Amino acid sequence: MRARLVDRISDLDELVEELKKSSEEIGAICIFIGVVRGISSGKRVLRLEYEAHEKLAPEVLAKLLEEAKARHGIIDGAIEHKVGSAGVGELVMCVAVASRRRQEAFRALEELVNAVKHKAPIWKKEVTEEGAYWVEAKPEEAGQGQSNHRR
Amino acid sequence: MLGVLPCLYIFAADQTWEVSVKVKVRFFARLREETGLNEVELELDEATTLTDLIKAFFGDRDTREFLIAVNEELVEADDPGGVRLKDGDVVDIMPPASGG
Repeated sequence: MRARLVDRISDLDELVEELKKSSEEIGAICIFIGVVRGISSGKRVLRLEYEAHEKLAPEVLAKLLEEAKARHGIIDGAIEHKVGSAGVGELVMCVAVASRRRQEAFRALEELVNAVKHKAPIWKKEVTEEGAYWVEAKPEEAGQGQSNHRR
Repeated sequence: MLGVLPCLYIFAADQTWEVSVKVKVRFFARLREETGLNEVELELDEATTLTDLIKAFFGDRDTREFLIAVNEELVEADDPGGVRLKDGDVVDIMPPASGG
């Protein structure tokens, strides 16, 4: 299990190889990649700026992985989240889970992605042609997207 | 912003109080921009709770709008009013997560 903040998301082939090595029982690896979109709510995005609590965020990410292991029986997993400035098209988040079969991997992956977005002390500012906005997840939207908090 | 701070019994440099505690408060992301502060050191009455601290900076906003950590441990309590601050504590006040 690895959970960390990064300047750049790791090479995915290397990540898959690393996960495969953790157990011969692994038969499924699911990966979610978050990418900076170029248009958001009709506005042209210039970049995203990520900030995190550098001590707490990796701890929360690691805890989420452990919880997914306990709840879904995944064998291994990894979470990487970018900090700093990210241009359109850049990879900013990677969640990967490895399991015996695909069912538990799918379940764990969706739950983990939602949890990362709503529990890890990481924040993003969307810089568009029309201004910069801190993006906030509303509690009732947990797992369903985000809304912009205009500053 | 500083106009609301006296309710926390912040003392002038020449004042003393036997039951005061010194804490550091750090702000993150949007809250850093709202307060205009990266961090601030305060001297408080020892009865000051996390809720008092939040109110001092953010008025009556629901404390559930914030992620709070004391000494880099997340405070899980729904009601941070029960959490009193100790001398030397470092309090991190953060907006809700919005990564991904």
